[in-house]
Formats: sequence, C-alpha cells, structure tokens
Amino acid sequence: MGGCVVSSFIFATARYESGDWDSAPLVPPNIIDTIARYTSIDVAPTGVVVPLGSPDLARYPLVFLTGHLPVRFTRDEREQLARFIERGGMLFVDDHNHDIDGAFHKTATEEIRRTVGPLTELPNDHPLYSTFFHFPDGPPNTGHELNGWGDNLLHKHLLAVQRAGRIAVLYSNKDYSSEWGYHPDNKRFLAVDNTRFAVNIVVYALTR
Amino acid sequence: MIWLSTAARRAAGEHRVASSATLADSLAAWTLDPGADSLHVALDEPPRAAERDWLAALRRAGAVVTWSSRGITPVALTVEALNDPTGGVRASLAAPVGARVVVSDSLGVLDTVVMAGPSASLNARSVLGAARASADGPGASAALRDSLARRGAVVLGRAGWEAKFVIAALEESGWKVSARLAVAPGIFVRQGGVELDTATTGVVVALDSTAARDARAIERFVRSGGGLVLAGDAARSAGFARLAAGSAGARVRSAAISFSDSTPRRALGFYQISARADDVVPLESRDGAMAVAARRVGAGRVVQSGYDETWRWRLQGGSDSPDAHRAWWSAMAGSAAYRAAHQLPIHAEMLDPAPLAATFAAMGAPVAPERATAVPAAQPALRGWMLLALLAMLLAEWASRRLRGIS
Amino acid sequence: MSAHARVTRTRAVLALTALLASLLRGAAVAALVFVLAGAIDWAVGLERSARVVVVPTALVVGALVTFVSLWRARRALKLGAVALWIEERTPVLRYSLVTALEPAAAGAALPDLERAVQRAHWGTPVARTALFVLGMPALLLLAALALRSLLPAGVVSRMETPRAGDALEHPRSAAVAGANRLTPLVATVTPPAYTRREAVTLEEPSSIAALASSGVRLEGRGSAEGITAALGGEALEVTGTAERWHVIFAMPARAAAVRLAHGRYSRMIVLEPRPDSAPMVTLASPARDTVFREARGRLELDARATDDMGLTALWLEYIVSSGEGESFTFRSGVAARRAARNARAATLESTLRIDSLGLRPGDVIHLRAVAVDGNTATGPDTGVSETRVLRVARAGEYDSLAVEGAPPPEADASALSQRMLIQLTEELERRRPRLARKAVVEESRRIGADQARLRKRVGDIIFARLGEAESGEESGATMPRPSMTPEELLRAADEATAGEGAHALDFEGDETPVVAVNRPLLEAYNAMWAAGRELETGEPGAALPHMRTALAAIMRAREAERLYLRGRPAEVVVDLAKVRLAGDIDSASASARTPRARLSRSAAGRVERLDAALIALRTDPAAAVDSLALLRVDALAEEPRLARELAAAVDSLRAGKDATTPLARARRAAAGAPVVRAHASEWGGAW
Repeated sequence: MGGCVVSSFIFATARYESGDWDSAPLVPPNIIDTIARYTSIDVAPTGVVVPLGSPDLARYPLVFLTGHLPVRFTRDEREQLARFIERGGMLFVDDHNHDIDGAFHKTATEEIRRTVGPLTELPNDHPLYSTFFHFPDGPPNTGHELNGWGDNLLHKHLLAVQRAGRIAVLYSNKDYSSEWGYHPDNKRFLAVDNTRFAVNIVVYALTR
Repeated sequence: MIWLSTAARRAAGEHRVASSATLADSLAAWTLDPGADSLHVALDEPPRAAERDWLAALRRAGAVVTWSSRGITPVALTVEALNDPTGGVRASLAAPVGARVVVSDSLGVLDTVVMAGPSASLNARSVLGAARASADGPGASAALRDSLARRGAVVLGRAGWEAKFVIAALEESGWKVSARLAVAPGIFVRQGGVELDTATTGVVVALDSTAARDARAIERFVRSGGGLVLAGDAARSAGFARLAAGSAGARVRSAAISFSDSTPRRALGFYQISARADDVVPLESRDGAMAVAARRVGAGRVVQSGYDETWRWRLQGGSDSPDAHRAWWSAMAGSAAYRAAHQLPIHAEMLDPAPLAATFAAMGAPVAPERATAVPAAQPALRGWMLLALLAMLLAEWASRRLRGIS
Repeated sequence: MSAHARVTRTRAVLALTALLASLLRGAAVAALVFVLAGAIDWAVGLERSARVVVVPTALVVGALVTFVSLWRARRALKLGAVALWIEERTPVLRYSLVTALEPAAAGAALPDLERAVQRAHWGTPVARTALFVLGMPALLLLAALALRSLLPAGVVSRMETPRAGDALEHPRSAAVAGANRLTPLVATVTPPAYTRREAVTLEEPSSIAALASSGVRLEGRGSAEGITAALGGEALEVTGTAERWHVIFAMPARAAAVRLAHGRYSRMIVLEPRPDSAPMVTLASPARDTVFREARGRLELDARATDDMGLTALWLEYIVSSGEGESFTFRSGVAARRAARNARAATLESTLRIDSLGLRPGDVIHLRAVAVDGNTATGPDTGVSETRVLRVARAGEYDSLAVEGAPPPEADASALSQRMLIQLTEELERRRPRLARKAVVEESRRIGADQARLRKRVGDIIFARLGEAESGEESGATMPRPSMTPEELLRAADEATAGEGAHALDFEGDETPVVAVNRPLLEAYNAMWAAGRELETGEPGAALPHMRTALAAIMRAREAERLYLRGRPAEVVVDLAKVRLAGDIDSASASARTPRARLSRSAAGRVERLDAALIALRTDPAAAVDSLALLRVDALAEEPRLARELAAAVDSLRAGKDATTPLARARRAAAGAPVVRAHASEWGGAW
C-alpha cells in the first residue's frame, strides 16, 4: 500500500469482506493512464487496495468499489465508510453485473442506504458531466449494457448520495468495470477513448 | 490646649488624605474647600477614570496631589475583533506573573487566567459589551473599537486533495472563495474571478507553485494591504521570494503516526522554513524546524505554512478534526487578511484599558506611604474631647468657688 | 337477677358504649383531618406528593385517637369500677352493690344486700351516660361530614384519589373572565399501540419527551374559545367543552415547539421525539466465514435479536451466487424463520443441510439473520446481523503450491507504521544526550502512545479473526494478557478457534488456519506490549529491540497470510512519463465550480441567538425564555450538550430561580471555552 508519500492522487480500490472486490484489476491502471494522458494531475503510477473497514480508508479520499457478488458490509466497514463520507470522502461504485435485479445491485444499494442514505438519480445535466469532458446526454453508455447478460438495459442515469450539494457516493449500473477493464496499452486500438468519463469523475472528486 | 486644637485645625487645612473608599466624597470636599492645598490619596485599588481625571484637574489647578498604593495589581486590557467569518474576539492582557485575572463581559465571567508571563491572550467566540479584566478591584475595561467588513479569499493551486479540502474548510467557515485550480495546460476549474483588489479580496491562498504566474499582481496586492498565505511548496517559486517569510527547505517528516487532539499537526510533514529576514515572526515550530512563519510586507501581511497535506488531518484525525482543520485554516487566512475596519461608536468614558498606567500618567509616580502624614480621622474627636475637658475645668472652677463658702 | 349479673350486664353496656364512642371519635378526627387538608388544597393547592399522604394520615390519626380513647375507658371493663360508677349515680344503694359483689366481705348480710340491690334501678343513668358519650363524637363526625360535603367535588377527588393530571380538577380555575386558561395545563402522552406502554400524564410540562408518533393531548380548564395552538408554524385545532379545552397532535419526528396563546398569555412546550431503535441482531453460529471442502454436511445456525419495544419476526436468509468470470447467477431463500410475537428478545436455532442447497464447487453463500420490530407508527425497522460468507472450494484450490495469496493490507499498514515508529525512536535515542530528561520522557511517551494504538490495531486484526470479539483491548476473557508467553498466546488462540461445523481449509498439521496465520501477529502484539512499557518509562533505547522484533513478526505475518485464495492480481505500472498529456484535450473545458454552503449547523449562529436572548432577559424575560426554549429545540439534534444546559436554564427561569450557572454553562457549550495563550503574540489572530 505504499505509493508516493506526497502525491496528489492515488487511485484506491476498496476491499470488502463479502465479495469479489478484485473483479476488475485492470480498471485502476487504466484510469491512472487516462488521468495522466489528459491532465497534469500528479497521480501515482500504481493503485492501492484499501480495506473498507480500515481507518486507512481516510488516506484515499476517492475510492472505487466493484464486484459481482452480494455486498454485505461488516460493522467496521459500515462505520469507516460512514465516517469517510461524513468527512468529505467520495465512493464510486460500479455494478460489474450491470443487473438491477442482480444480487450485487440489490445488496449494495441496501448497504449504501443503511450506511449513508438512499441513492437518488443524478440528473443528466449535473456538473459531473461537464467537469472536464462534456457529456451532454449524461453518463456515456458502455458496450456491455446490452451484451445479453445482466439486465440487458441501457441505464440512463447514474445514482448518487449527495452531501451539502456534493456527490458523496456515485453509483453506476453501466458496468464501467468491464468497459474500462483492459490494459491501458490497448487504448491505441480504440477510435474514441472510452475512459474519458473517468477523468470527469476524478476531476470532480479533486475539485468539488 | 487652645493652641493644640487650633494647631490641629491648621494642620487639617494644609494636608488631606483619602483612601480608595472615601475618594469619591473627598474629591467633592477638596474641590469646594479652598483651604485644601495638599492632597494625598492612599489607593488600594486603581481609581476610576472620572476620579483620576478629577485628581489631575486639581493638580493642574495648583494643588499638590500625591498618591500611594498598597499592592495594587496592574492590569491592562485591549480587545479586537478576529478577522474570521465565524466571528470571535481576541482579548490581550498584561499583568504581573502569577496574577490571577478574571476576564468577563457584560453577561458574566468568560475565563480566569493565571498569568504565566507578563502578557496573555484570550480568544472568545463572543464578548458582549465591555470586556473587563480584574485581579483586584474594578480592573481594566475595554471594548471593540471597530467591526470588520469581510472580504473574500482567492485560492490558487493545482487540482488535488489539499486544494479541495482547503477550499472546503474556508467555505464551510463562511469565507467567500474564488478559486483557480489547474487541471491541465490551459484548463482550469474556476470559481468566481481572481480579483486581486482589497475592495473585494482580503487574502490570497497560494497552495503551490501554480500560483506563481500571478506573483507580481499578488505582490502589489499584498503591499497595498492585502494578505497572502503561502502554503506547501509555493514559497519555492522565485516570484514569491520578496514576499515569503523564508525559503521552503527540506521536507520534515511527520513526528507521529496518528492525529492527537492536542497536537494534531505532529502527524503531518512540512517544508521547513528558513527565515530570510529579521522581521519574520515564527508562529509554529517543531523540534527546532519552523513550520509556520509570518511577516509584514508593506501594508500587508504574509503567513507562510510549510504544511502541504493538511487534508489528512481532516480525514484521518479524531472526532473534532474536521472542525479543528476548518478553524485552523480560517484563522490562518484571517490573520493575514486585509482588515476593512469600521469604527464603532463607543462610550469612551466607560472604558479604562490600563487604569494603573493611566494613574501614573495623570499623577506621576506614587510616593511612599509614610510621606502621607495626616491628621488622623480622630481629629474631630480630639477636638471634642478637648472642648469637653475645657468645659469640665470651667465647671470645676465655678463649683469650687461656689462651694468654698459652704464648707 | 343477682347483683353480680346485673353489674356484669351494665359493664357490657358501658364497654360497648366506650367502644362505639372511641370509634366515633376516631372517625370524626380522621374526617376533620381530611377536611382540613381539603381546605388547604382548596385555598393554595397542594402538591400531589402531599395529597397522597392525606388519607393514610387521616386514618392513622383516627386510629390513634380511637386507641387512646379506648385506653382511657378501660376502667369500664372492671366490675368493681362499674359497681362504683353505679353506686355514684344511685345513692339509694349505699354501697350495698359494691359489698354484695364481695361475698367474703358481705358474709351473712349478703341476702340483705341482694335484696337492697334488687330494689335499686340504674338503667336511666346508664342510658343518659351512653347518650352523652356517644352523642358528642357522633355530632362531631356529622359536622366533619357536613364540612366535607361543602368541599368542591374536585378537591374531594384530588384528596381521595390523587393522580397525575388532577390539577385540572382544582376549583381555582379560569372561570373568571380574562384569567389565564393556559394554566393549569396537563399533557397526556399515549405511546403508539405497538409499544404496549401505558399513557403518561404530565402536569405543567415545559417539555415533553416521547417516542415519535406518540399521541399528545394538552388539556386545560375553561372553554376553547380564544385559545390558539401551533406546532412548528402549523395551526392546530383547539376544541373542548365549556369546562375543558384540549388540543391533540402526534409527536413529530424532529424536535419542535408547540406554542399556545390565550389573549395576552402564551406558553411554549418543547417536543423531544425519541426514535424507536431498530432491532439488534447477532449471528452467533456460524461464527465466522468458512470454506467447505465439499458441499455436504450440516451447519448449525444460531441467531439472536433484541428490540426496545418488541419483535415481530426473526429469520435467516441466504443468497447463493454461482458462476465465475463475468457470468453469475443468484438465488436467495430463507433458511429458518420464526415469529416473535412482540417479544423483546428472540432466538432462532436451526440446522442447515448444505446438500439441500444444491451447491457446486465455487459457489458462495451469503448468510445473515434479519429481525423486524413491530413499529406500526413510522414503519417496521429492520435489523441485520453481520453476514457470513461460506464458500465451496474449487478442486484446484487444494494444491497450495499453485496459489499465491494476496498481501494483507492491514499487515502492510502495520509494517509501515512500525517502521516509522522505529525511526522516530532511533532519532530520539540519538538526540537523547542533548535533551533534558523531561523532554526525553515526554517524547518517549508520545511514541509509546502511538505504539499502543498500533498494538490495538494488531489486536483488532487478531481478534476479528478469532471470533466476534470486540477489540482485544476492550473485550474480556479472550484478550491476551500482556505478560503471556508465545505458547500461552497460541493456546489462547487455539481455544478461541475451537468449534464445530464444516472444516475450514488451509491448515497444516493440527493447527487451525487462524492460528497459523496469527502466530506471528500474536508475537508482534506481545513485542509491542514490551516496547510500550519501555517507552512509557522513558527508555527508548530499551524499547528498540522489542520494536524490531514486532516489525519482523509483522513481516512474517505478511508471508503467512493465505486468506485470499484467488490469484494475486497482476500489477500494471503506468509509465507516466510516456503518456503524460498524450491525449487530445482540445474538446475539454472544465466547468465552473459552485461554492459550498457555510455549515448549516452554525455554532456562530447559535451563539448570536443565545447572546441576544441573554440581553433580552433584562428587558423582556418572558420573550427571552421563549427564545431560549426555541434555541433548545434547534440544538437538540446537533448540540445535545447545549440543549441540556438550555433546558436547565429555562426550567430555572420559569421557576423563578437563579439561572446564572446553567446560563453560563449554556454559553460555554454554545461558544466553546475561550482559548487562552500564555503570551500575547506579536502576530495576533489565532496566534
């Protein structure tokens, strides 16, 4: 968990006890690559894994959480996450199943509601969609939402828990974990970089 | 006997003495009685301002006015508003070491200060009416002389956790913040306009070297009265060399792994400040390394902080750390910020910020108490007894004559 | 009838008369005491605590009077005394009666004496005496009863059955036009039906604390005309009869104030809602996550739940996840369930047959206990236990050589922190010759405090794995004592991990996996204790060997960790220099940031309001008290300490007592204690 001692931004993935927290191991380096490509943000070259139930969660004010399996927070995880959000941290959750009837979505939304409050739809003209790149139609769709698995739906909105007008928990059913789960070197094969929305999320977290 | 009684009257006409308790009555009597030309006040508490002025007037009128004191504890007090949207007042005290000074306002006691040095300060959230500091007797009183019109803060830096949480701390404290955060070449996240003018802006917070592109404008702003907070490695920029309290040197590691409530910043690293000039005021040091320092530049003020990751304090500290982090940043910005003061109407006659010093100024140094030779208060009683004795002797004389014949 | 018989009969009559008279006296005195107390209550109003003792007091006094009276009349039981009494009132007897009662003294004259006695009659004096003796107390009793009937009915009922809320029955009332009908005021609070709690009555309340959604009825004397009520700005309907007015509302979910007004009179009551807590649920068995070799066997399930009001149901639910990679399927079910019938505590024990779930290798079961309470007012609250994750191992996982464990972040962080503590200690030891002893001890203790915190975290890791114990620093029996040897520690760990159920994976020899993993952490824990002791006594040099031992043990724990049997994710290190600003940002432009709001829970705002109320106390005390009460409502949720002090201050002010101390405490709670510095800095501000 080392990384740079004095670095502006270290991408952190939350490790929680109940499920496959590491189902998207290539998302962190891909996002790090994206941040470095488009911004001058001082970012660490590797990500870290931080236990959701550990006080170390507070070292990383933006934390990414994903998985396929049900999410059931332990008491420590709930306490640390509540404290983390209360103090200004931001959690980005992505349903790797992209299934609103699936166990991840149902359990994760329940745990989030229990811990910090209910998720509500984020309007598609929210500043998140213009923080760096512009997404006039809201969250960019992924190539996995209609792949026949999951709920096979296009999810028009992201969900969020807000605190004092700021996004504290950002929740996605759009399976960005699959969309961004490739080696960053493979970006060169893409006509349009499909990770640009990650820049918006990180810049939002760092500036709002 | 007649001579004695008249001698006592003669003595009483030349020199009069009063104590603190009888001073008010004595002043009127002295003023009305032209025979009083030598007045002495034996004080056991400082006189009120009106009484002191009266004594000074008598002195100027030609009377010899002296005073002595018995163990009066000198106390001086001044109050000023803190330049902080959350409000607050700072009371500065001067009193002898060991004195126990009770500080109060019109609503009651604020605190009791045992002086560990010749001066002390007390920051309170509110002080209503006149503040009072007393060790014995009425003590010193002072009131706010001006109120402050708030100006905004401008935060310059690169997008990052420190910028995010410094702006959050200032805004949550009530500062109106304009910001410019560098995200990519030519791309900034902005909030409001960066107006370096004391009409709208009170302080600039430069969090890193990205602020150096406005160094000249910032210098003009500071010299005209504005404030500047140089944080992190911002002081390393050449553009701030004339403003900074010192150079930002080597990074000092944190001295603790957790944030204690009493000394939270021990868990933070900082760029050590090496003072360049004699006018630098060290504000915070750790193990001999200066972490926060300040200096005046022209009409403005500069506070330099070597800490660059105070956001960790807010997120990783104890239960009070978000409030403490907020208060620290607000106080730091406020201590540098331009003070747009508006004078308040005060009733000067009710205030007495340094009563004993004012007594010295009005009446000169005190004399030794032995010099205060006085006709004792029993003087009228002595005259009465003497009169009685006279009458008794006259009666005896008459009786002896009358009764002589009888025997 | 012989003389003896006649005297005996007379004695019986006199004794009965004395008894009746004593009883009448006692009853009369008791009635008079009651009437006197009633008169006092009518005049000035007695507290309920005083009225409660009136009837018992009256009875006791009456009994005392009866007893004393009987005692004094005991002579009536003696034949000789009765005879003398008869002789006194029947002079014609000339002591023949007294003599006749003593045959030995009478001797041969007894027949003559008997004849003399037969000729005398004393019925009339006996009757007259009885009438007189009975008449006075009877008259007194009648008089007392008559006086009692003159007391107002309300006073009589307040004396006879004093109870909360009977202030309204007092005859001093608002019958007079223009009088304040807002006092006396009685509040009846009825908790929601599901709580099965009794209603509570409060007299003259300044605040009411009750469960949210409780029914509140405020009642006063007189008609409802001219009385208005508002709750948080919304008007409430005031209704009633000519004798009584009332207003009814539900306790809101958030603190609020009810304002009553009647002409120039007003009154405010603070409402403090108490939330109904959700049930507390624990899953005692299985006690921890487990991995099954094969999907068969029995799993004992034991869940417990408690609630402050009452539970309706408790069940065990599971989710089975099957699949791998990107394809998963899920099914859920209930393993066991029971109704709780409003019990405050419930247990559910069951056995789960693993093979009944149709599990395959790689399947994962998430199991937890859920309980629901009977809150029908704001909706049932649900409590859940910790979730147990039970996994069926895949075939290939048994080859431990093929598996790499993911590194445990806790040990990483602990190693990092322990290294730093060692560095700080080494630095202190180097500077020690130049420092005063006091400074060395102070710095050493600071490092010791950090070492203790780190030791606690290591302890938490150990005990989270050993069982459901809270931090080892706080729990009881399973906490290792600081002086345990490694063997004792391991024995304690073994005992703590003993249990039934499916075999867990990953153990060597006869060790359980938890012990194998935790052995080095336990050694680190012990070494940290020793280091902490040395640091506490200001001996950093002596602490260093222990600290290095702890670090080495933590590093070994890293290597031993095998809890995560999935493969270590491949680490990709981004070449930042290569990719920096290689992307196209021509289309990018950052949108403007919007400011954060000043914190709404503004302490400065409350200080201002408090100061304004304190100033107003001098000129308009009633308004100032209302302001303080409203401020208390605002502070209830976010600054409970300030709310408490304001409550004490408001109560004192309303009772006409000195409120200086609670107001000073309230001011300090709102504004915080002043910060005193031992010097006046030349810089000013916060320095």
